[in-house]
Amino acid sequence: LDQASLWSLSQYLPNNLVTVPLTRLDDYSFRSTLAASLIPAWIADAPGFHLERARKLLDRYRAVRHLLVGAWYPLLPYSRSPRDWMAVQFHRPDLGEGMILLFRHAESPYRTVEVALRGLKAERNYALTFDNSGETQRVRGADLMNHLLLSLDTRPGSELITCREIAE
Amino acid sequence: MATWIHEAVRPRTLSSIAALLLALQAGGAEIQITLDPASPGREFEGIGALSAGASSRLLMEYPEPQRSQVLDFLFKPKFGAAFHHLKVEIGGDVNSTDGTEPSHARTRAEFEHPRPEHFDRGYEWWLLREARQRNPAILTDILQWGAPGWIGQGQSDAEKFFSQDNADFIVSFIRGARQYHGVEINYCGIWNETPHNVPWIKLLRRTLDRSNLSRVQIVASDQTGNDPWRIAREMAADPQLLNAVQVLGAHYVGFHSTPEALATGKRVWSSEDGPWRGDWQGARQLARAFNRNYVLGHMTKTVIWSLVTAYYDTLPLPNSGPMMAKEPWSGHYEVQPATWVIAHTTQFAQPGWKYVDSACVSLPGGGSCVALRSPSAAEDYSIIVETMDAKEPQTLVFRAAGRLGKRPVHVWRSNEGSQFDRMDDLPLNSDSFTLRVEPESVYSLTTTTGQQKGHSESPPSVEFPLPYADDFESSTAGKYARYFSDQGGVFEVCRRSDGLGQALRQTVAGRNIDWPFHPTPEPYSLIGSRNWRNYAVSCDARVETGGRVSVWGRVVLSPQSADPAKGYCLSIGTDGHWALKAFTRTLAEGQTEFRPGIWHKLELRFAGGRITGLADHVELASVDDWTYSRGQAGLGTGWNQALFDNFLVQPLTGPELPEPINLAKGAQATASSQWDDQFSARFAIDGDPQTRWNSAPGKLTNEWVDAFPPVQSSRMRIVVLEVNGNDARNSTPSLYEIEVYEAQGEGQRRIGAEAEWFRRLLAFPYTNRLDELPLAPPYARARYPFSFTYNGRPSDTLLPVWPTASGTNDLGDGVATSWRAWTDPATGLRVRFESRCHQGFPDCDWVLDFENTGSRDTPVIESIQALDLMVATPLEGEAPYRLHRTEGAPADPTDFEPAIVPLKARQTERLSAGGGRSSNRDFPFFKVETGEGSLIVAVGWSGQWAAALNSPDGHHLRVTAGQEQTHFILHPGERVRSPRMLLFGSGQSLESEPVPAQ
Repeated sequence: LDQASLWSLSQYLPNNLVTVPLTRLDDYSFRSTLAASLIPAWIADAPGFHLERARKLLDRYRAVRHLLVGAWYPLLPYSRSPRDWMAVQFHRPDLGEGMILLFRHAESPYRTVEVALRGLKAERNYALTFDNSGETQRVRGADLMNHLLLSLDTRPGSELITCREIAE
Repeated sequence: MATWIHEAVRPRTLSSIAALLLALQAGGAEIQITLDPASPGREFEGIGALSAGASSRLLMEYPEPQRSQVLDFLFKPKFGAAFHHLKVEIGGDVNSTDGTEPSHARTRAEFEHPRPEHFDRGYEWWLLREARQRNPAILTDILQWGAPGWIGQGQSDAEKFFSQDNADFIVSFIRGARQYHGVEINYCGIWNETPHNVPWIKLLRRTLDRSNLSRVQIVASDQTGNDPWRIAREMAADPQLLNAVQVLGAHYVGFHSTPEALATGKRVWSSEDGPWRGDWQGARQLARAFNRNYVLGHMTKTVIWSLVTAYYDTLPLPNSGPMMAKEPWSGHYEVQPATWVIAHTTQFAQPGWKYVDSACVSLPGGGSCVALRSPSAAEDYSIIVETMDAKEPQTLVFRAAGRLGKRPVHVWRSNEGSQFDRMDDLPLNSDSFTLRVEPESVYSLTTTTGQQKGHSESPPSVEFPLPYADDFESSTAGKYARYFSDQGGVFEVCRRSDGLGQALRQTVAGRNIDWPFHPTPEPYSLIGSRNWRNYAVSCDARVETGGRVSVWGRVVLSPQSADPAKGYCLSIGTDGHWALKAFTRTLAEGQTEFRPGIWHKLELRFAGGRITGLADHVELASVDDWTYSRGQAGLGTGWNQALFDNFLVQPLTGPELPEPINLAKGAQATASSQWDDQFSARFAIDGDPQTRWNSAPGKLTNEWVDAFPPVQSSRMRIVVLEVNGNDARNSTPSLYEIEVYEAQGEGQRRIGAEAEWFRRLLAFPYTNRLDELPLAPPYARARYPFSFTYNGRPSDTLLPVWPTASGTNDLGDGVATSWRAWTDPATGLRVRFESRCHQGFPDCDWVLDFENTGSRDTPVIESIQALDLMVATPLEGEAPYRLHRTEGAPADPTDFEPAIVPLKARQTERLSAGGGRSSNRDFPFFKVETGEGSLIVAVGWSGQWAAALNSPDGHHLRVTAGQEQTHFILHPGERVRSPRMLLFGSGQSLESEPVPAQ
């Protein structure tokens, strides 16, 4: 639902105007609520609260929040269906940098999805860094805007991929 | 023949019966008229003129010898108009039509401690003196239009006016005329065209009598409208009133008095009359009035307004006099045909002569005849014949019953081609003489001699020259400044307190007792030519304690109301607030330092469409506005005293704006009703501001004129709400001229220019991407991207004919605003559309603003759609358009869920807020996919908004949005705004376009 609301409102409103609270510490929840403002709704002094995990999420937010005020592209249609995927892209053409948020809903039988990125420079190379694995791929902009095949083995599953223009 | 005999019968008049008998006698060949001195006849009391309403303002400024020449044409016996009677306004410091006339006691202190210079204000004293100098026998008459505010006590103007103070004020005027000018006043009226007060008429009589002014006769009560002779019935029932009043006078009575008026035994006058024009058309109507007011109404005096056209063309009812003297800077004047038609009576009979009723008749073939006999032993006769309604020549045989002896009968004639021509004398044949009279002519036949068509050379007409400067040093303290024409307040030359010569002071510090027909506007005074275009007007100004000063330019009209002039005004107050306005529309405003007690420099510059206002040489505003392309300059204040000096008008270079074309001129026109053929709808579109349409008698509400300009596909309906003016016809709705002007500077007709303006607005000013917006200019339905209904009529039919102004403002940082405003001239409703664009974005947002700038409640404003667009670029396929809508947030899993809805032909898709919460039912932002891109609409309103999308034909799509329900009126001064509407468009397909970076 958080993904859906952000997707809908992002059609019209800048990301710094919409936000949903983050109550959990898992990556799926964190990525589902990523807006330009983060509202941690954790109970930090609750017994068993994983403080280090929370710090890690905040660090991750700080590392990408400058991308959340960039142009917003829906890569896949809106869906609340548990069998679907959702994906959106943020991009800062002024920095040559952006990111992709990818979600495989809880009952989706599909392991891969094909998207086409937007707003890149066709002739430039981009480094795609996958948060889950830490791996980096080097891909031409034209290819990324043609098709990009993405996989998630778990369901529900999510990925945060940063995309940075790199020197030749 | 029977036909014209029958038409001659007007049962109410003896003269008509006489005409019938004459016709029967004539047997169709000749009309026999008997000049029988034994027949009864009332005493002729003369032809008069009225100097009032500031109509004589510019005459005093004329150089010699032209000033004396004009005065000779007006008053010198047997030379020109040779008026027998001069009626003047008692100045009350209020606007009485074409300006304010100063009072001789502006405050109670001045009244209690009069000084000689108080009795030299204005020009009426001077005019009385000049008239009497030329004709010592001239009769003098005075009347009030309003009065200074210190007079009387009470809540209403009427309570204050009908007071002992005011009776004393009149007495002081009469005494002042005698004491300071050697002029005796013969007659005194009550309150011009304002309901009278019987006890006060008696009080005035008692006050005059107590003041040894019993010889001053009261004229009552100068009313017009449907029952102008009402006072006659009151006099019949009230002997005291009967004794108090010596003359019954009424205005614009259409040749008729009433039996009750005649039965009072008092003299009965048409105490204000006239066609308000001096050309041959005006002359024709005067000829009718002078004869028929006696033949049909037994009125023995006719007084016309105005005496002379000595006021600017920008003022109400221009060119009303029988001659023009409105160019004192050149000395040019014109003696018009009306002057000579007046002379046909005034040079041939004098007050004290008697009508010979046997020869005062309507002519069976059209026209009328009056005969008058001198009281002298010589027993002179004069006969005036007018044939203004005749279609054929008529032969008149006058039988003189042995009264003429062997004296020749001299004949003078006027027609459209030539006026006041001496013809051959008539031969006497057995004591009768015969005259063949042509149609549309005036003849005077007389045994007297000495008549003269006076002549003098008038210099050529010259435009008011620029540059023009006045430091007021050459004017007389206490008098007007040369050429200034006060429309509110009184501006008089005074000594500067710092010893640096003279300045101009606005002297009226508050509202006075107004003439109800023309409430006085805030003080301003006009000068110059309505044809001044590109110029700078500047002055030094000082407010003593608190208040405002203003400088004016490009004034094209001074309305007959409390509204400001139609032109530009830069005003600054001691509170620091400044405003640059076009009429009542604010173009720019702000704060600046403007201290009282010191001199400041004000300046307005006009160069093409650029209007710049400066204070103390610092630019306050520079805006583009094309509402007024030319006009007069002026000075003004609030209701406060202020000083002006070093007035200067200098020409500037700038683009010549194209001459506006009145698109309504020559259009077809129809009306709900008409008074008669002389006041039909076509006179509202003939381009002649002196002709007008009037509704039929008794038709007072919901009267309208439709015009079908050739360039417009839909008609314009002008519903006339204002009842203006002061003759009987004008008590019904009237319309002088429908004006639909070409857009200034666009080179396009206005209708097209409106669409063009919006197209440019949407592209303005940084990006051309909005050119790709899938709008369809010119919009198939709506000319404007919004709509509303006003008084039951759609805005698309109203706005094209309302005066409009526009401007732009670059706010920096890539933000620019642009606005356009329309004002309903009838009700003062101002509609302002203000938009904003951002550099680099295909966006445009706007707000509509409704303000009542009038003095009464507006009619109902309803169904406001802040967005009303017609799109005409359908998608290919089954549905011509697709709506991308988003659910609101009722706090369930569907919150903000988007949906795509095909918009099919003849189906309406509606969106709205829920329960007054802006995003409860539907989200107030939506997208429309079209065949050439997408359109995003955002409704900025934290309340009950609504939108509707409908394709009436599968090709067009109408998109409306705004507050869901609007139906209200605005009280004076109230202002409301619409939701803000945002349009965001692109020529790309919907899903390919990002929401932009912030």
